[in-house]
Amino acid sequence: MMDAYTALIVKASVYRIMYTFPAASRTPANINLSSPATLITISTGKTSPSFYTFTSNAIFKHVCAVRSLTALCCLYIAPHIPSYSALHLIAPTSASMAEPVSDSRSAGVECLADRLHKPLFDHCSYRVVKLPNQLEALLVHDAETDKASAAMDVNVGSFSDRKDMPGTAHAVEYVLFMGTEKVRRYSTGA
Amino acid sequence: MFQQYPEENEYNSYLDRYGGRSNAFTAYTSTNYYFELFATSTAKSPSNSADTSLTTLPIPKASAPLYGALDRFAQFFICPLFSKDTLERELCAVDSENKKNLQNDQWRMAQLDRELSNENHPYHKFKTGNYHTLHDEPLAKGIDIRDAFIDFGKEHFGKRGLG
Repeated sequence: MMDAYTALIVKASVYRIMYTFPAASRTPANINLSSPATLITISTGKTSPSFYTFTSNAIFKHVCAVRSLTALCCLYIAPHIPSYSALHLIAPTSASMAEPVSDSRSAGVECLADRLHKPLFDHCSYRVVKLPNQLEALLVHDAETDKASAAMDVNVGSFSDRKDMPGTAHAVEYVLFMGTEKVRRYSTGA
Repeated sequence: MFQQYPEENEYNSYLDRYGGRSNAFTAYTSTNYYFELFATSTAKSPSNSADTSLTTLPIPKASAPLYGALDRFAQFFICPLFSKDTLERELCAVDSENKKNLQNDQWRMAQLDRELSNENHPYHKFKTGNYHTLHDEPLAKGIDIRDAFIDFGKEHFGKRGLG
């Protein structure tokens, strides 16, 4: 039986990460993978470890920038969270990811774990944070990459298809990326 | 602070501009959307840089295309339109993907595996879907396809988040 963090990391291994958290870094605030949730993965290579705030205007705001860092954020969004518009996506403020999140700009951000078992040759830094809206994010810093990336993993798939419409989840995957309200607002001037 | 993304494919053209790419996949219990692009829009590759200390300097927000990409990316989860105009085209794309899968033995075996499983388990379903299951059949039953997608999004992606 995997513990929650192991499950989280295994899930994230879709990309490249497969580590377990040391028991010492576990917190009571376990990630509940059994509920529908969302995962965002963000990495910024050679760029500042960034503070993004998903504001009420649904915009990632750059709040802080420090040294060269790569951040990989996996954000789980529990279903009870009222809206994505309340999302806050935040990476550590400090140049060292081992330092606690204490900047006022990251108020309410809880560091769940920042010490992971990893191979000796792994130069990446990792941290799991919990944002004020209950989003949990896995951040990975890789100073040697020149790529930045992000992924959102929504905890719903084809198992949730309605029986009379096989492929619904798959179709939604396609349809979701066809335009957004923000686009319409600006293209119509509304 | 607001930016304008007037084109439907502005997300992809933005990624193109910075050597990026995006994709997505639907699994049994999750749907994953991802992208990657250059970390910086200006800096040279570290391996080409004589002064290695430069590589540890912060990249200003203005030259980190990630920010713009994140903003565009986020919109899809915040306020997707499920545009009627593009629905048909996307259903054709799903259908096309399934047709492609039919040529692939691994995909065929995978669906066969599902088909042979307990029909009461969700694993039993036709996973990919095609034009028939997503368009013809629902229409015949009087199902509004777009509404069905929006309902799916609302139910599983968050009530105010989608749709």
